[in-house]
Amino acid sequence: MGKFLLLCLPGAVIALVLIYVPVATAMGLGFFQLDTVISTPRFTGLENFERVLVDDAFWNAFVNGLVYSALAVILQIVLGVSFALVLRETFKGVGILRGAVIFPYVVPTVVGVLVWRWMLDPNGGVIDEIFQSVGLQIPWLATPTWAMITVVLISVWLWTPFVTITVLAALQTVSPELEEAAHIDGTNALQRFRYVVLPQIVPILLTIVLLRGIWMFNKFDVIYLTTGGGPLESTEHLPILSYDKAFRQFQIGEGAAIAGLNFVFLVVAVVVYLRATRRWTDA
Amino acid sequence: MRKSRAMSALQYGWAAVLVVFTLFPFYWMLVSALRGSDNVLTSRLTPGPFTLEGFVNLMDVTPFPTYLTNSMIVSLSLTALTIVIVTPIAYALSKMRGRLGRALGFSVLLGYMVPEVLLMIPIFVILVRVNLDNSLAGLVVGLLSVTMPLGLWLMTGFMKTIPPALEEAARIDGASWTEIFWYVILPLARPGILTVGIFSFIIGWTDYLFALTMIRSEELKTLPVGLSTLYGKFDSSWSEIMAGAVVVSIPAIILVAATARHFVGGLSQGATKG
Repeated sequence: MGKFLLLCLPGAVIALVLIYVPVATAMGLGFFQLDTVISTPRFTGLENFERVLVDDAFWNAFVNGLVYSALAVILQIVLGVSFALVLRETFKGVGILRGAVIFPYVVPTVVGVLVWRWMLDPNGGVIDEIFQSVGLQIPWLATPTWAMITVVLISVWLWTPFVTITVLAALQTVSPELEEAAHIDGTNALQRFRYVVLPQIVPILLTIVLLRGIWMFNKFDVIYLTTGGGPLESTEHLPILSYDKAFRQFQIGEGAAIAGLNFVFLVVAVVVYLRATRRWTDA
Repeated sequence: MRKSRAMSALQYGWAAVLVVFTLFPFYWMLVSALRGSDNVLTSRLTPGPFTLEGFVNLMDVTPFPTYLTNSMIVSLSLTALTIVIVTPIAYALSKMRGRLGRALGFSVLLGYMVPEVLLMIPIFVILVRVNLDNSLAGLVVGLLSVTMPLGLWLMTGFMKTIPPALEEAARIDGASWTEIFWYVILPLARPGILTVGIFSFIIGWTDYLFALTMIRSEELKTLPVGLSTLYGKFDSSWSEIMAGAVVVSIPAIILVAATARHFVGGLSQGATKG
């Protein structure tokens, strides 16, 4: 084994430097102040955290992040599950559709954002024109409420396929005999879903909600590319605020403190969630 | 038959919603790309008029070809490095039983759960200090911090499924660990290597945040950042931008189509982008 471990050594060192060092540093940087990236960090204790926690911008970003991720996750789950139920059926073209449904998930985020921005563009965008032709003038990115709706819409388009595909896989394990038995007993489709199918996929659904929730709360690029956090900070969430502080205002310590608090919130939320849902997942 | 006729109609309707919602943006992307800048504002829903002008402008007038080359360099070297680094460590990890193995495995997963923005700041600070910021090499190194935890996690799980009897047979024949790894494990691990390779390539190809932070020079930009800054520059209209979006989407869609069965299986284990 000795020689073989030697083979692993370079990789292990790189892994150590690139995984553990940044995580440890990221946690630590919040306690320091850096005037520039190359200056020696000055230990300032809890100062960054104190400054961040009394800042209205921080709590605004926190609430925006909650609203954004909650709306995006709920819609992804509802659409994803209903799409999976349709794709489970056999009809002409379902094979192709099962493959194509994953496309939004695999193209770069920037592609999704750009195509939606183009379709919603007030100057010739196709969806905007369809709405205008029935007399609806929608300020997609111009007002705080609509900007939030738009970033949620784009996120739902990009990541519903993940839910669809995973639920579709989970549905393969649901036994058709149970459903048929329920059918013979005179239940309707809705009842069969609620009492036969749903209980069997609940554990998977809970995991998906957890993963999607973590990812949406951390997601940077959709909002950054669509609105940049505006208008009037209405779509600014913690990752964007952290990025702004660290790389635009060069308050690296404060940026790290925000990112660190974001991580702490997430860990607390995950622990609470796992506790609260234990009775469904342990069974 | 387990569904009544009325239900089927509802399902067909919902299938139509699914098709339009998922695929219309791709359709419109292609239609707009092929209309050229003169006709891109035509809002007729049927395709045409057709011209390749958007693609030609994209390649001749904008720095898109540079972005394309940079993205290729970054994604391919990221894929190669990830596989070379991850495979032997994953094998070693898969042999570790008990608490140490579990702890190492979990810590790898933890690295994967840390938000990118949180990793970004220290990685940037480290790269600036070793003079690797604003370089493609630095970008690859930074992205390794994303691909390695995911790759290790997937690959270790994969290695554990290889039956130990094969290694034992080789050991009895007097093979060393290195020989076993090279001649027994590697050929068997090919599907795992393929999965990790695809994920790494897609992470490199789609990354936005790392490139945004680390790359400042125009000639070093990769596709996602480059494409997002095209609007309003180089006389580009939405037609050129949609042409760019088509080009950026193609490798991802081909990769997925070619390896769909594989990829969908891997998806449930760990997904690439959030």
